[in-house]
Amino acid sequence: MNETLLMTGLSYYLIGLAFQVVLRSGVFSLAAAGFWGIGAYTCALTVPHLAWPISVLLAVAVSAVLAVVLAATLGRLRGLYLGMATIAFDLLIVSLAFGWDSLTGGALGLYGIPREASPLMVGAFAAVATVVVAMVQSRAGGRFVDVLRTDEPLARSLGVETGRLRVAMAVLSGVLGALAGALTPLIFGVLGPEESGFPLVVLGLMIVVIGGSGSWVGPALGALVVTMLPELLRFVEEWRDVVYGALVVVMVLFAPSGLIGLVKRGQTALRRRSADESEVMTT
Amino acid sequence: MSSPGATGANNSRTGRDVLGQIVNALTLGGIYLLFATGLTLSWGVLDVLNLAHGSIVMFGAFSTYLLLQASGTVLALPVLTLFAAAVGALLSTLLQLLVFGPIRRRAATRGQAELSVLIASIGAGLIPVAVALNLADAEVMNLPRETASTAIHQLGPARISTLQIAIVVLALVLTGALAWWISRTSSGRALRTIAFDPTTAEQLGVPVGRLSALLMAISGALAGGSGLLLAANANAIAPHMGDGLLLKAFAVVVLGGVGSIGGAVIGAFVLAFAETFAVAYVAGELRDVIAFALILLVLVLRPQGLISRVSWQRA
Repeated sequence: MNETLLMTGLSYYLIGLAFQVVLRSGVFSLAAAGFWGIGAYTCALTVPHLAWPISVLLAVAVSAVLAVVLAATLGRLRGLYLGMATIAFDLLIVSLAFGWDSLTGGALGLYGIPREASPLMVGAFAAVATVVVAMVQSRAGGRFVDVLRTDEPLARSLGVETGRLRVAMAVLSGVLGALAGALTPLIFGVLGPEESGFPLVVLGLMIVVIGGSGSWVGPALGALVVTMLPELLRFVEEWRDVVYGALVVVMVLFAPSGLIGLVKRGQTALRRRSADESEVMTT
Repeated sequence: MSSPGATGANNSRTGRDVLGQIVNALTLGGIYLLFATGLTLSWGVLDVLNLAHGSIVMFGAFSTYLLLQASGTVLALPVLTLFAAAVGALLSTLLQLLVFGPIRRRAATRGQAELSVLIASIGAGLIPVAVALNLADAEVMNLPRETASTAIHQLGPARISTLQIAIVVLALVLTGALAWWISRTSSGRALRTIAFDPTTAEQLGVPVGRLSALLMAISGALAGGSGLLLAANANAIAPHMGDGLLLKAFAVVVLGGVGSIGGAVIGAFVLAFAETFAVAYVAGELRDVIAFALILLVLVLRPQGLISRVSWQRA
């Protein structure tokens, strides 16, 4: 039971990472939820015939190819247009999962999927993903995506290949989403069409919004909170989604840089106060 | 030539006669238009891509259902439509005053504001759906027979119900009135100024906050009202009915060009006809794929929309 909770938390972390990558670089691609679905179905359908690592890699590879195609197709889009097109993509994947009965099992979904996942394996994938994201966002790379988010013309004038960087971030996000998706049916043994789509976009954004979008630490913190929330919120029971929705709104309104931002702000305030106090004492 | 009492004319999907399909497509187009107009206006004028719009549609219909359950009386559909529109307007205004407005005031850059509003609207949109899921006593709810019933007219070989006529007429009249308001009146001109540049508008004495709230209220009223009309036409209310509609509205908005009401009219009917005929004559699974394919095609080939944007739209 606790193992399942741990693996769920790790898969949440991967979804969070997928959204953190795009939020930090300011590329409004919310397609990670759609790729989660593609990854999940690819893995669930192939794992009875293949060894699970091959299934996972296959799911990730298929999604990566599709992510490159999608990013190339939508390459000209910016801002809200890109957000809208990628959400449309997410909704399309859900409706395909519902409609393509012969492959996906339709509304009933797939069940009896071998539950091959172990905490070690999910943790290993999460660690690899962390290293990749941390490397992409380290020093120079981090500056690149920051300037891409805040001022794209400036980035271009500084010699950053913004077009290629945007595609790379969108693809990385899609691949991370697909990885989270591929692992999930291996954890639970079942997969339904309603699992991707809007609720997943909310989940991913919630994790990043709670933790903070500055680095991989934000999604880690956010995933921890979101995994623990159902336990803490047991008393609200089926009203949980109301709390989730409200939480996202409140965080965006009052703590746009997440818990990490709050902690940092608190530290600065403390330091300033102690500095003030010492000043008072010296005078 | 009318036969009162029957429900839902021309809803049979197996019906292969072309006239029936045309009537269905017109009705669907009217609903898409009512729904998408609010979305395209709030995006075009306020830079708000409101993903809670679908939830507002659903909640307009659902709150009417609750009202009927609680009061135990049967009210006429026009009264109920006004009620649903009022609920939609209320939700949408609250969203603007409590969430979108403050976010936009605090955000450092325009891109930052757009993204924050997008995320907040996704979160806010979750709430009505969750409330409806918890209060619903069935997966799909029906309006009482007396409310949903409508007279069916025989126009030559075509059958059309009063409700279907009402939907199409209402959609065209309301969008026409909105278009007139925005293009011909002084408050409409003020709205166009906001779309162009909110800061300058504020300095010119345009009451940006009040007009933004008004625009969101109109957008919400259209959404709530169209939700009930859709529910009455299909005689079904489902907590997740807004999600699929949102995809359709995206297609309408993109087809017509963001912020363009005239474009939304064309987009809504093009999409409705394409869908209706593809579903009737090719395959039922195509319904959602068509909307997405249209979005992709337009965005890639003509990002400015099928008809290019009118001058008052954002520069």
